[in-house]
Amino acid sequence: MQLSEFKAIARPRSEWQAIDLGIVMARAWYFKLLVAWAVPAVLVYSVLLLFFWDSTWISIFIIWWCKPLWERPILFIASRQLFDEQVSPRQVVRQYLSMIKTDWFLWLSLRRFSIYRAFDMPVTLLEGLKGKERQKRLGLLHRRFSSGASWLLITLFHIEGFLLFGFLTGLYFLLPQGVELNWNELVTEQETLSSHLYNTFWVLTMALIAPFYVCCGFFLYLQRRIDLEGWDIEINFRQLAKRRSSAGGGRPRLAVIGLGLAVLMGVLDTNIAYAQDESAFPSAQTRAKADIQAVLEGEDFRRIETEEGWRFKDKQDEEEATIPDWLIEFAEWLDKHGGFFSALADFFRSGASILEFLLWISFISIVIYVLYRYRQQLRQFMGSDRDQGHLDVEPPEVLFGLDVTKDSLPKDVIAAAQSQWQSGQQRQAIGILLRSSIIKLIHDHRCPFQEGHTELECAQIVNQAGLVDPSGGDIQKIAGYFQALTRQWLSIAYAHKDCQQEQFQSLCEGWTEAFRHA
Amino acid sequence: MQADLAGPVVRSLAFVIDFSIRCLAMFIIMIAALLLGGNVGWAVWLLFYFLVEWWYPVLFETFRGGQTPGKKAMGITVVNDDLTPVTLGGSLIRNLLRAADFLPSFYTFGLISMTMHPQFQRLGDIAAGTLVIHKAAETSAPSLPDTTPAPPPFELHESEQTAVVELSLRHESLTDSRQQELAAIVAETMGKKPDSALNYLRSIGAWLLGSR
Repeated sequence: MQLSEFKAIARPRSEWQAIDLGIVMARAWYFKLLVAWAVPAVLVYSVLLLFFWDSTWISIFIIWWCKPLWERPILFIASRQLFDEQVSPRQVVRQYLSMIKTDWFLWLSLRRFSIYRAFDMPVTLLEGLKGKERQKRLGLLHRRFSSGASWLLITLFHIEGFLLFGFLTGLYFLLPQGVELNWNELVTEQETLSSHLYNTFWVLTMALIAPFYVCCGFFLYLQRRIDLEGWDIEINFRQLAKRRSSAGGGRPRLAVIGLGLAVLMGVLDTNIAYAQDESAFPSAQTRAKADIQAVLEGEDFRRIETEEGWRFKDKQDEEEATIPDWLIEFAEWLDKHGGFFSALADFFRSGASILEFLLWISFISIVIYVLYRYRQQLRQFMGSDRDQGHLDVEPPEVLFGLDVTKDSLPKDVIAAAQSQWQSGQQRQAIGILLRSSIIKLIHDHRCPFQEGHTELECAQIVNQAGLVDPSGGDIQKIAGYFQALTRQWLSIAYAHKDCQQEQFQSLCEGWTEAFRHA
Repeated sequence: MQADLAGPVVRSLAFVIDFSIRCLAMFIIMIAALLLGGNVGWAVWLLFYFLVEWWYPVLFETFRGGQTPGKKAMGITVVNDDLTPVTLGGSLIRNLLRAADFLPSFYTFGLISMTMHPQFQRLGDIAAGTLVIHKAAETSAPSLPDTTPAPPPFELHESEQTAVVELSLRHESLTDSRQQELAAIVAETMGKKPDSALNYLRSIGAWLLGSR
């Protein structure tokens, strides 16, 4: 990507301005983009018609559902043209499969419901991000313009409907006077024919709208990057650096800069620059391309090496692929051994079964989601019946801001607490007592404390849990002591009430008694 | 003078807002008319329908700086094609011709014309010689980085000045590393080391914005 070849003017814009620029962009290459959407879609649609001539809605539904796939070539072309790289139909055809393939399954399942489709598509198709990385990137991009992206989809969705209706009413207006349409007959007896007519116009409308939708979403995405990365600043700084370094740099360069300025000025009202007559000024890019070609054909790039030997495959890469191989193989197998599509057709033929199917799918998804979401709580719930369950959970390292790892326990707890008390650090003194009690409870008595529990929750756990006591200490006493200690801690740590000398002493004694065996 | 033209998406949304307001108004008037009762009620309602349907946009556009409530919400405004404020005549023509834009149904002609016309004009706009443009949102005073202003070392072109100023204005939204990177592009030109270039550029930015 060469910013110097960027054909629109980079500057800060609102989301609506970015969308409008997307429309200008779609208009500039409209025919190319329209064909890139329509040819594959219409081909597939025709094939589908052969299979499903009688149930008319299946073909149109599949075409509609696969919109994300048809839209990809548009993005492919627009993203290259915008950086002054002409795309030939041959290039599109050659790359078609590879651009369709990326994450196709996700885009046709989960992401088909996304209202940010065109805004998100460049992240998959141009940046090639997947999984977590993609999520992170989208989070950043969505911080602005996400409402614009969703309104874009909602608006164009409705415009698609209105245009379709407009075309049909227009067609009706064009019927010569005297031709009487028998609506009843058309809808009831010629049902298939009339709905095929309707569907054909629908495909046409989708094709007409698609370039605008993709380009608007693409420009929203670009505008986000212009803002995030300061493209406008970079372009101008590069020009500045070039201008100063070539103050006496000879004619050809000046001519190119002159042309650049002329383009910028010519652009102001239409926002987009068009390619100027290249024969008059062979641009720096054309010359550079020739140079690059010459270098590439040189000896340095013609070295061929053959290496042989066994080595491990890069396992990690394979694991990262979103669609498991077996699924693809399975689909291919189904495809090859026929019967699949006709079986599918039988299945789809009854509207009720598909509804039932969808309901089951959503029910199962919800169950899985709930299980996953509350897996911690579930594990805890299952574990509460059996004491061993506690062992599954890692003991926490920090509880309400106190370090409760075993290593942090001072050797002589009471002495440490006393010395803090002497130096006036009441809070720390009680803190040491509480900390050491909790550490004891976790490691000697296996109390199932967890990160996130509050003091009172801990106290409750101590009360309820059937404490395991390896050395036969008085369980009742420990629980009672912990209650008192917690109360004192709460009042000193959060209510900032002073603790009396006697109370502290009794707490110290209580500690020795409760955890004496240690 | 320069302005950004407003396209079909933002204008459709503005239209939907205005349309909802009109519907709500007509609904309330209908209740009043029903209370009035009989044919008189319907006559009153039809009269109001005519006024709201045809004069709502005209009055707002003429007396409210070219903005109906919907347009105001979307930050767009109607102007003459030389960017002067729209007049009563212009607004009247463009709104009466909505009827033409509506054909054959649901503003099909209007949408197509608006999308394909180089200046995003619908039929009514073409007839009245009006444009719909984005109105720059009023931004609050931006915070600037803390520097001592310094004049540029040599004359900067307008676009270059803008770039330097933008770098200062966006010091909070661009990441620090990216700002360093951008500054490094012109470090040599400015006669600075790459790591001190950013502060120097910020000083120039403050100077260009008028601090001395």
